Amino acid sequence: MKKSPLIARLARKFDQEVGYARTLRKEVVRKIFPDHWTFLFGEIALYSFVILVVTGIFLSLLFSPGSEPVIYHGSYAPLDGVPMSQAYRSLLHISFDVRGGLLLRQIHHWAADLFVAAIVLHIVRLFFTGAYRAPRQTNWLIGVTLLILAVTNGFFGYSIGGDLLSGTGLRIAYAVVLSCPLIGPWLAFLVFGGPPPNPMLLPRIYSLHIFLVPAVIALFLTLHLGILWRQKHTNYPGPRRNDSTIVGSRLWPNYAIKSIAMFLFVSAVLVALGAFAQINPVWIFGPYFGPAVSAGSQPDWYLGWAEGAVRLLPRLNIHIFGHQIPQPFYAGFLLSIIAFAWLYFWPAIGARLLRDKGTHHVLYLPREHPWLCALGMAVLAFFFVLLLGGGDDVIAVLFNSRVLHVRYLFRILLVALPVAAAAATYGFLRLRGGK
Amino acid sequence: MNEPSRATRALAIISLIVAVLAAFALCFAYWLTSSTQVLGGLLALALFAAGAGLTLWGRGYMQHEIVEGEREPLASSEEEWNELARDIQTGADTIGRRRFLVGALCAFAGALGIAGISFLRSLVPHVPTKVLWHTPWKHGVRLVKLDGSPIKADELPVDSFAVVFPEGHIDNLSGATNLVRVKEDLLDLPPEQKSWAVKGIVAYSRICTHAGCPVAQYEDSKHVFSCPCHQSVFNVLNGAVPIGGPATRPLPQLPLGVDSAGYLIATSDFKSPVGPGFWSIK
Repeated sequence: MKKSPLIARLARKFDQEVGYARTLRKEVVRKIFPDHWTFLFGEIALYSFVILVVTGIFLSLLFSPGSEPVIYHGSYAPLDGVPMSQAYRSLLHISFDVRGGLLLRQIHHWAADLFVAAIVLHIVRLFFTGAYRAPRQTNWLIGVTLLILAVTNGFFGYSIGGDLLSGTGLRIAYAVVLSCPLIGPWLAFLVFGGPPPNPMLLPRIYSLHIFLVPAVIALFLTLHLGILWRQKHTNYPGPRRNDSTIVGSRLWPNYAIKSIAMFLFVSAVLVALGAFAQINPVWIFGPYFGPAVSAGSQPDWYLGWAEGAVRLLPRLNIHIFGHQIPQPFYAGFLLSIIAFAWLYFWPAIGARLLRDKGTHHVLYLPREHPWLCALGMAVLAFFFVLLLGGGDDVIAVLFNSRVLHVRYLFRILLVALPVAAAAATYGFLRLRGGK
Repeated sequence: MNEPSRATRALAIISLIVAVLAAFALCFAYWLTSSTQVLGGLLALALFAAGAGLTLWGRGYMQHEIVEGEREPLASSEEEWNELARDIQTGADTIGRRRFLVGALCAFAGALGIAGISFLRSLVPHVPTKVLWHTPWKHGVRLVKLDGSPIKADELPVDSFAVVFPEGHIDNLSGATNLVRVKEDLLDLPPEQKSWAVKGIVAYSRICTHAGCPVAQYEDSKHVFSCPCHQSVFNVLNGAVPIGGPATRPLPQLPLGVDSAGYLIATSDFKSPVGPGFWSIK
């Protein structure tokens, strides 16, 4: 008799210890995955996270987050003799003296941007096709939580470098937290350890960035995938597709090969971006120095909407019982809370608008619900204008116009574009045969 | 399903060979060069070729079959659920004086939770109100430039602009101050602030009252400061009242004086907190 390969013998041995053959065959090997390109966004997010962890471990072994002042004498000549934080010096060290260091730093940064982008696209897909409906409400909530965690950790990563740009970002984030009514000062001091810059700040954020937040992301990601596995994917409407069937290709071997290829493609794109597309060139910004700042300070794209809100929303001199409500509170803090609360409550709101609380495993097409899609497009347009507004100074320079004029234009767009987007979406979907 | 072409199969094989070669090349390249583009380019090529190879392999050498499976109901049956509830109830019934136990455990968990939250206080190094209302400025502290040199009031030209710090606290951001000299008769300060200027020299906190960025730009033709972060604009002549952008609060003004040697000094700390606004500012 032909001897079975080593891996099969080891697997059989382990099966004798725990007995998994039946489950593995039914839940993994024969598992059916629907094929549709819009189902890939979640997968891209997952693989971006894997790349983030791999590159992040490498970077964490080289980076030191200290705030202690040092004088730079490294291989980057333009900053020779310049006082800076230990964190910024170690960032320069990784970028210029560690072989592959800059590559991994840039892959890490691109992966963070792609991670959030893929999550956003994933949520947009779920919104426009009704995948938030029963029985997937809980998994939607976990997904929104993952979005918040991804944005938070992206900001933390951007902040720990000790460069002028990230130091400016921390000052603004501190101002937003500080503006919170009643608890603001205590909350800001709890998070930031006092007004930035202070010696506690970078080590504290570093610890959150490399340990606490990734651990929580991993936990929720596991839950998210566990629930997905149990519930199986949704299907787009089509022949033989109803609430008691699932149509697609089997995990083994078709979907496994496709998914591995997908992972390789995502990695290839991120590595290519890391190799050829410069991102966050901290040596150009220089070290953080409190009284200094540069024009055109922008956050990563996924916080551009918050930056835009702090710029575009009007200044209202609000006082309540003799207390001040600063603009960063309603423009930054409150708007974020409303945005995410809206997302958290969407499964309940959607069910009410659809007048349908039933269980669905078959998605709807956008044209079946033009009103809901119009609403979704209006919200997207609103945040898109805020995102552009976050760069109003850069846009003003680009078009050789005054910042204030650009700002007034964006303020008009902030109202006009959502209305126009909603109307256009509704009209377009009705034309395409909606009800 | 279409029979895959020979080209597809050939391309699949070539892709996988490229992937292997690129990966091998990377093993050597690491020792030969530190070029981000070479290392990253080879790695990207290897990954991309492997992905393409697998995808083409799927088209050229694998059966593609759409299968249909059944969804089993997700929810437990009524019976299963009742059995679970019954077992939990039966178990709970065997515990004597349950109400007391539950009460005690809740009180314990609550108290411990509050104790745990109390420990958060250790993460706050200073009481916020003590920090937020004070800067190193006080009566008699000289204004110095970044290089530590003090400033003679008479030597400051009209329309000049300087960044100054409290002597001995150059690294302290809360004390960073913008100093401007204008023609004395142009000043139109609020009555209680009139005595804070010296010969047309006025000093305002450099930290924006909107979101805490340094108010780094001064336009001497218009006598305004502007903040490069969110473009708040402040009128230097009338007490740094915001006249544009999102800021609502004037930049705090530093009361100035001149010491016996003719150098500019502060005559007190700022009268209101510097930096972004918060709840307890009136």
